[in-house]
Amino acid sequence: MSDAASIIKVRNLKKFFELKKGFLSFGKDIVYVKAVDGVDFDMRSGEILGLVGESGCGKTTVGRLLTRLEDPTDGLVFFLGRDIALIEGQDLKVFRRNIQMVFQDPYESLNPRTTVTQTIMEPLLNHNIGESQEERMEMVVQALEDAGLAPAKEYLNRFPHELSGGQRQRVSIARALAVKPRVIVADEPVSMLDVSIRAGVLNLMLDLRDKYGIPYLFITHDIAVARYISDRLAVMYLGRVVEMAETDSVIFEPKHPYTQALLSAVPIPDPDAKHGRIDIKGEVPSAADIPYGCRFRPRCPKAFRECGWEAMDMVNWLEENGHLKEDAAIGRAVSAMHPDGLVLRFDLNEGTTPVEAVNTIRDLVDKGRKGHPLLDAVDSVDTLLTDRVIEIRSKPARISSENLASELFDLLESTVGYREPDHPMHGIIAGMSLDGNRLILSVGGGSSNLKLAQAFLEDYIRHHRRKNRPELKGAKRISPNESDMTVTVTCSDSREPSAKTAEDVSEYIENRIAADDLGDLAGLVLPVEKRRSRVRVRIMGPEENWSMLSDMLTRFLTGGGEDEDNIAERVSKISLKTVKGSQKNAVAVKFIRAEEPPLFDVGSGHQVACFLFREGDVHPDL
Amino acid sequence: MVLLEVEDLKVHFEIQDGWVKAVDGVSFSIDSGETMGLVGESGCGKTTAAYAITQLLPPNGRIKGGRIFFREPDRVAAFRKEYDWKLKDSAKGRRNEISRIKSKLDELNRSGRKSAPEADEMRDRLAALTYSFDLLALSTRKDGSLDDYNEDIRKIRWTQISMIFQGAMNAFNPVFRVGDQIIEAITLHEDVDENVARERAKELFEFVGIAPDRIDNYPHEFSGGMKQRAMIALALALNPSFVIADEPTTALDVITQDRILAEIKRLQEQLKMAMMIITHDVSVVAEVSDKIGVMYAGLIMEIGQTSQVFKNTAHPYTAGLLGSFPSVKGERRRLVSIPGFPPDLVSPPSGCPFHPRCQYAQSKCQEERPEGVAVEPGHISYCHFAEELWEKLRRTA
Repeated sequence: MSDAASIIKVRNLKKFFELKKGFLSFGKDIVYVKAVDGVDFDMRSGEILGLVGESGCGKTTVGRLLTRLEDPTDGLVFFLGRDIALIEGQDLKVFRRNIQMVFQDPYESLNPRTTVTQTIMEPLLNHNIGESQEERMEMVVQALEDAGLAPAKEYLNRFPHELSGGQRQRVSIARALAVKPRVIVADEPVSMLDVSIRAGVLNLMLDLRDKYGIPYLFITHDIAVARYISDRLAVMYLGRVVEMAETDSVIFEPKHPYTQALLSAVPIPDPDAKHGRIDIKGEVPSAADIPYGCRFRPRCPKAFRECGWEAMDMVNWLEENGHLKEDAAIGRAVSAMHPDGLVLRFDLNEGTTPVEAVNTIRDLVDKGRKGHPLLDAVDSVDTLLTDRVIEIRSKPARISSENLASELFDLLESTVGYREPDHPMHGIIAGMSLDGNRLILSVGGGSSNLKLAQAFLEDYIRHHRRKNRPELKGAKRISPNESDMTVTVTCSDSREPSAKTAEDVSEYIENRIAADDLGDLAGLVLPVEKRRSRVRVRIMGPEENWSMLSDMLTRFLTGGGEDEDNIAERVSKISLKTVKGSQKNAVAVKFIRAEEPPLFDVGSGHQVACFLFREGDVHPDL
Repeated sequence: MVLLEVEDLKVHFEIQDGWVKAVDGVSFSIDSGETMGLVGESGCGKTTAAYAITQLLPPNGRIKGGRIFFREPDRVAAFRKEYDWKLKDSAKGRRNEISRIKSKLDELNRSGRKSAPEADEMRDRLAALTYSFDLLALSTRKDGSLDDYNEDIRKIRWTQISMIFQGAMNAFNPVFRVGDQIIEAITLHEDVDENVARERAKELFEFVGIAPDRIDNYPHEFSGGMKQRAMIALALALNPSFVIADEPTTALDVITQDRILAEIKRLQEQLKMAMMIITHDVSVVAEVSDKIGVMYAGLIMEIGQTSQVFKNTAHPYTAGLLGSFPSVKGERRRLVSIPGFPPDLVSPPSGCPFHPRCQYAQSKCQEERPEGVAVEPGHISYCHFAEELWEKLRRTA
């Protein structure tokens, strides 16, 4: 299906909730519950997209973000090509009319003091739909009969308590339908209904889709219901979509290990059907503490080297396999363990030299490498001088006016779908071009559109400046020109604050490590830490590694010629420091870096977020 | 061997508008080691029937008739003595009934109709009267309310008949440690000291798949699935012969539900206890039960072995219920919903309570409450037209 048929596009959508803690935690880092953590999907016109997952997986939050009942922490939702975060004022009202919700509990979602007529009439009045009261009344009757409450006369003057659960849910559906929305988000609409009633409501929703072609996002925990109603299914786990495809592809050819386990657990209403149970380990982790790499990895029966093993897994593994007992080699050598992300640091007992300890651990790791993906994912084992750190201070950087103009151009291109016929700026923005430090928007239609385009640009730039692009401060001058129908944004030089340039610096260093520019040292460098405007780098191995790394970084970060990122402009000082008060000798195990698996296409629109399906990877199980 | 036999049980609740006929004449029996599923929509009386067995009715509940025979060889003699004495002069008394049945059987024998169906029925009844005792006779007061504190019932409850309550999330007291709540149940019923009970509680935890050192945790430190497991441990604490599980997996996620069901199946096979599982979800019943009773508006509509009820459906309501369940794996056919909605049990429809929603209903259905029709051995449908409809409703396997 072509892209233009997508009514809703969701890109990297995130919603984090701040975890409230007691006052004793004052000054500590804020903990976030990552309810939705990078969700991508499209909703096509006329289709029912089922969003399934266990409780707490974030499916309801996705629905609330789509309808703007919540504002996203990050990411974009496009409704008919338009970024919904930017919709304001009168447009917001139109948006709310176009995207309607049906809620889970029909006992809570209807006002007990209003009759059915009033309930359905209210949105019509709010949105000024219909010319006269008679016309609106006709719409109410039509909506009720569409929702299967016929003859409507019988229901018009009833109060919610005079209706059964199924009838109430039909009123909810009638209310959503009455304003003729473009999309309906239905959050568990049948989970409170009795079985014999549920089937009727599901059939009604299918019939209405066929009659009006309205797409639904159907959110449910019940996979059998989702299978019945949806054209496509998206399976969520811990804030992410892990698999998405045509419904029957997901049901009959599940690819993601989580989907496979989930489906094998669904009870089948047939006493003779025996399903093969795929049991997965443990329970869903907390959304405030999401595992590194693939978030399903700790429970996954198929996890392999690339899935993102970390220090905590090794601690558990050592414990489970008895390596920490007093009579085991590691148990004798080690006095304490400090897991920290990808690095596991061991403090050593007196009488054990770091070299001995390194050899013991290396031995264990090398022997087990073939048998366990956790050990296979160990990058290096070496001594660690815990009292050193290489600290790089960043400084605010200048952005030239030309660069700023081109950044703004890219931002507009990637987030404003003005080329799509449904976008409100379609026809108003005819094209964009760059000229030095100026971004020129050519405007179509009459001269009144110039004002619209100017207002749009002002809102747009303000929104993004506040969100995460402070440098857009330099794009202030927005001037319309009536003679050639253009709006010009003239950029002036601008600055990025040091917290932002520190990000560039740490990213730059990580890229150099990944690009193997550090030679043999690359495997020994610990993950780069960033604290406000400071970036800290540490390395395993002997004393000389530190000075070598320090020299190399100085060369990269201050050296001139090939530096196209202007990184030198962002660095103010590089120093090799000695930190007081820490133990001098320790041993560390570092794991390979891993990413979160994105959705890989495995053919005919079937997408799976699992590295087993990454092209070019060879995996023993496939 | 029959462990529990419910006979024409009627439980009504008094409310402002009159009497809610929550259970209005329900009969079924459960063998030892057997699992029975009681299925029905909300408000059909399935939970009330279960609470009548454990004798835990709310204060406005009244037993309006029926008997619940429970077989417990160890104690039956002791109980029977007292019971016999209590009902010495009553026509309902056990001795009177036994002699009445015996004389009737003799009569049948003499007339050469030894194998008549009613003779079988009488012999079953005789066996029930000889080896079981009526739980309700022990504790029902004159007005039909139950005496919760009846000593005999308290001896049976939890030691013989225990319960896994609906919504394990809230069934534990949040201010006490989970382990202590199990220990309390043990020490209350058995004369053991706390350390022995504690060891037993630890074993139980291990048995249901929770690490024994979690015994000192509070309920809020457990996940939903763990609470449900702990609830099962509590129900098993005194080694009962009969466990009632009221919606044991509702409100749990699919994967957890699947594990709990597997756990229930395993325990049942290992401990050979009888179970009754109450649920609204026919797929749960299909997974774990040997036998199913389908309830609607306070009555059993159909009862039989699980595969009989699923494959050879003989009641229009069961057919409607099964037809309105979407299947994950089966063919994707349009669901058939049952028109209308469940009746108000203060004034249920006359005759068959399902007739206003039944597509096969005829005038007879409005007038007479149907008797059970045995369509095949052990498979009874309470429908006037069970024989005729049976072929039509049968699902092609």
